[in-house]
Amino acid sequence: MSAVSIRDLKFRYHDDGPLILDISSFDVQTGEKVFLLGPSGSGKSTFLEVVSGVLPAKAGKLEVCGHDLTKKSAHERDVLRGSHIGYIFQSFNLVPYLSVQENIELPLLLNQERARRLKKDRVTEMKRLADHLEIGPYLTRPVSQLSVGQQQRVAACRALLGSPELILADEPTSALDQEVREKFIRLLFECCDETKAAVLFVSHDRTLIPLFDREFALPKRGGEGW
Amino acid sequence: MVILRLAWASLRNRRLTTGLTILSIALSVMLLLSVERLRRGAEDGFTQAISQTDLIVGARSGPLNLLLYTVFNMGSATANVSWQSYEHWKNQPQVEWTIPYSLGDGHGGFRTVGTDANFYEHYRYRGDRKVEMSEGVPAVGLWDVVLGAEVARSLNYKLGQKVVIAHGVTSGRGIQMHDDKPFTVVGIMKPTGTALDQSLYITLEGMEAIHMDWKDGAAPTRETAIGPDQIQKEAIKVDQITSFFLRTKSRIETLRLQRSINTYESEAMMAIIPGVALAELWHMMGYVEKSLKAISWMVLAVGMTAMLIALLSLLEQRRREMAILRAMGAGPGHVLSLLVLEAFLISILGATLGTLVQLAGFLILEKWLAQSFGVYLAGAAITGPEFLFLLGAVFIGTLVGLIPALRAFALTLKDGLSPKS
Repeated sequence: MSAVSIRDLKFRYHDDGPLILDISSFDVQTGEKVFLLGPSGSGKSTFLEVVSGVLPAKAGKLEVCGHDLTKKSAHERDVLRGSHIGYIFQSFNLVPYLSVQENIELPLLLNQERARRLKKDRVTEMKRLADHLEIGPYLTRPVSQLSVGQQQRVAACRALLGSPELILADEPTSALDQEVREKFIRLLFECCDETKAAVLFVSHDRTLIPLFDREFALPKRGGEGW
Repeated sequence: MVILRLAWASLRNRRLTTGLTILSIALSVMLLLSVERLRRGAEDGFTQAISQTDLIVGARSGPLNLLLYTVFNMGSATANVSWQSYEHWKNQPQVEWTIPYSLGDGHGGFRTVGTDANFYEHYRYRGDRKVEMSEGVPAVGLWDVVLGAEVARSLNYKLGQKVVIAHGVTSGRGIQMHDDKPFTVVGIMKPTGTALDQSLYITLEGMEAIHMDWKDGAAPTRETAIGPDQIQKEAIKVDQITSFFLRTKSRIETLRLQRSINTYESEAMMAIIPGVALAELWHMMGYVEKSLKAISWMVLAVGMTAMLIALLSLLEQRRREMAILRAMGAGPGHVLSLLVLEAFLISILGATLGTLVQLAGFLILEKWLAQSFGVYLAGAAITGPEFLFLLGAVFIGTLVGLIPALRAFALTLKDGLSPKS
């Protein structure tokens, strides 16, 4: 089973609006790490929102972890996203009023299935993962006391906990210094390898490409819109 | 449950704003409950100023007038009741007891009541409370006077003190004083929280005695004056009183007796049922209560508005947070319920705090209210309607929370995972 399987996917915000996405074929295999390349304005964010089921794909086929999102309701897509996908934002990943630990636990609380997939109890699993990502000592801190790099690792920890099959990362390293970018990605991949999670990583930093299994460029759209 | 935890954590994180919002709601809830409780206390105190008396009887005038000058020390009688008539009704078989009341004189701004031992024995207020002495004994001797609690307190009189009654006035300073015939304080009453506290009580004979040498409403001259030591209580014949309270042996007879007094041919008299008259009078004063309530509701509206502003003004900042929640599988419905829950929590905390402060406040102020204003907080601390009001306040608060919540819902749908701010 592939993590993502796309055939003839077309996306418009409105039925008569401009075509934002037009992807004829794209697959991400289990455990595969794909670097998604796209100039700004190529619809990367929209692509991630469609794959994660936040935006509805109506035409074509979009399978995520074996579920065809084009046939699911908004609520079903929300549930699927919560249980099968870990998401890392570019920055400001954390809910400001929760502690580090509470932030990490949040997807487990929002999704029963995700919690059920834990191999050990919640705290043990979380601590192990946090230690691996070198944020173990910060679990009880308020998020405001963390550096940007630490915050991104907390976000990674949250995305990985409960072993989702697919990690979507929207330029997660762009706020980081050059020297820690690679380290962040390596740590992320180590954790993903444990659970065979696939990674779909959006960035315009081409220097990172060698770290990935392969790259994929979103097709440029015609002169419409934007 | 997780949404509740989130709502709680979010509110806790914004302690100051949340605290102030809760406070403003608590304040209005407290105000409304206090107004209601005071009103109940005042109504009780008012309508319970006299109890167990079935009829108040006086010369024919208005029922309100009769009620006011007998029970509330307000106004005065236009005519008196003859002793023969009093005796006639007092001796009716269906009458259990009567308390005669003779008014018209005063002392130091308080009125003097001429009455007899029945007053100390039978007068009841607030259910079954009777007149009790904190010091001394009831007035039975010709020159005895008993002071109401407030009279004793404000004039600072003690037992054994000589008291001179002023003629014809119940308030202010008299022009003509009965200074030839001073009374002696023999008793001081316990506070009752009613108008009883603001009167002096002498015997009917005493009342008669200070006037016996008066002629045609004029004070006696040196020659016609009769010294106090020349008068014997037994020799005095009382020939009129102002009014009297009456208790029937069975309540069923009250209405019939009232009618026969009202149609009594020998003298123009009037009997009123105090409970009915008191309720009518209280009803007339309802506008005070209504305006107080209206003010409380407005304060509640202010509190709710404060909450609405607090929640709405934060929405922009929270778009990021909502995108994070969405990325983790939360739907727009979750975001909606998060904000509604926050409003609900603020409202319920505000209502609870307001109630607690109100309860504690009245617990502390209870004595002072009773002593200073005669407002007794009898009855339950919270009644059914007040509880309904509390529920209503929480409900309205939650409903108000729907406004920012729906806005957040719309924003969530628009923003998706990337807030366009």
